[in-house]
Amino acid sequence: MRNIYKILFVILFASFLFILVPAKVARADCTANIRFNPPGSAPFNQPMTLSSTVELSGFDDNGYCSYNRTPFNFTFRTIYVYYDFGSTVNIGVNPPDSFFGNKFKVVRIDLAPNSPAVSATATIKPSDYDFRAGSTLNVNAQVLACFSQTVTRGCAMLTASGAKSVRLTAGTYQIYACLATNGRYACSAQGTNRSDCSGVPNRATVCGASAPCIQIDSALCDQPAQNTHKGCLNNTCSVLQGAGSDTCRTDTDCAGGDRGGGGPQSFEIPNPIGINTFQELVNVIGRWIFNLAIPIAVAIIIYAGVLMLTSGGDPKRFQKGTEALKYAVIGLAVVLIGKGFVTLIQSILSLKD
Amino acid sequence: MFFVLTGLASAADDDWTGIDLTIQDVFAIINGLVCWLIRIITPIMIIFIVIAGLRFMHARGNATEFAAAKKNFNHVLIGLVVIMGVYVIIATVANAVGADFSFIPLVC
Repeated sequence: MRNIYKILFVILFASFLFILVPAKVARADCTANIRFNPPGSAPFNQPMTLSSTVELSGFDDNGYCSYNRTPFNFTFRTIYVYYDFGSTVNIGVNPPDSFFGNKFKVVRIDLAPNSPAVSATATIKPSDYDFRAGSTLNVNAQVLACFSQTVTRGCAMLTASGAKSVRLTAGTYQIYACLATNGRYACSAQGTNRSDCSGVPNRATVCGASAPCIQIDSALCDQPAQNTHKGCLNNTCSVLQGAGSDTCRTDTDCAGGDRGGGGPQSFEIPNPIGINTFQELVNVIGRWIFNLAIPIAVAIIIYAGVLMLTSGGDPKRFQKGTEALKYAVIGLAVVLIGKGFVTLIQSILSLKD
Repeated sequence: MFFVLTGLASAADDDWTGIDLTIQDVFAIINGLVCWLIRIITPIMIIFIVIAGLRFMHARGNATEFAAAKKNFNHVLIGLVVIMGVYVIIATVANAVGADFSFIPLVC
């Protein structure tokens, strides 16, 4: 019974000790404020600078912005400033691999200790994101603080600037278009500027299914094309760029090949191995075998050594090991000389010189 | 401020259909086998030295057995020199025929 009282007393005393220990002063969470003032208007096809200043507070003892939730302490050594103009962020995972859509630009900032203000600058070209002249670019600058541990990853959205509008002014740009049968350029529709002209409305009927796709200045859209002629392309009569006389009038002129229209067509198969002469080929194969020979020589010499090791005083088996070593060395010498034999014979044949 | 934690978030779930095997990989496999051989040979050498020593002990003054043990020991020593000097042998041969021997030792 006495023992139980002793234990109870110790427990009581220990709990008093815990009460006496002063509670840790609660530290403020990491907070951020962003100042973002984009230009009011910008040419839509020119690089445009988005610049903002992030003011941070709530530093821990190490000088880093942190967010304490017992038992976890999330220290943010990296923040991402995320200029969003039409995509969403997947906050569960670290940027920059965690955005839905592609209409964003993210700036990574590795924080130095005790840095209350950092600036984030990004350059975007609105036309790269299928924005056109006359439309408005609504940019929202957001500050994400991310941590990355072995099993958990995540981000905290610290602050956002709210949407700021940038009016996009005109300017010309390169657009994919095909030559319509009426002699005008048919341009890709908005947001579908693809190099195969699949974005041109009714491409097959307007231009013809196999009409070539070219890149033109956007000012030329729907304008009559200069310097064109009709010629055969893939068995169809298409409007082609460049001056010249018409070689066809309808698709039937191009069918069958020998009925004229198209000139001789040339094609070539690219060399798949990238080696152009026979000697080069031999050299490459030689180098392969040479690369193989060195490890094999090492293996054979070790095998010879093992034969000697395991001979156990038997001269016959030891002899076998020495033979193996001898032939390995001879073989290695032959491999190493390799191309030398060719030059040796060449030099013998040209003794005259 | 809102806060989201995700546990065990995997970066990318690629469908796993195999590796791209090239001729360089074949060389690397052969190289790897030889590197493995070089590593495995060290304990084997030790085992045979120990066996040679045991044979000396087992002779117990018997002259013929001692002579056999001595011969065995000599062979083991020579085999050891050959194995440990494998790069030296290759470098010597390469140097003798005037070839470049910067390829040794093998990258293990």
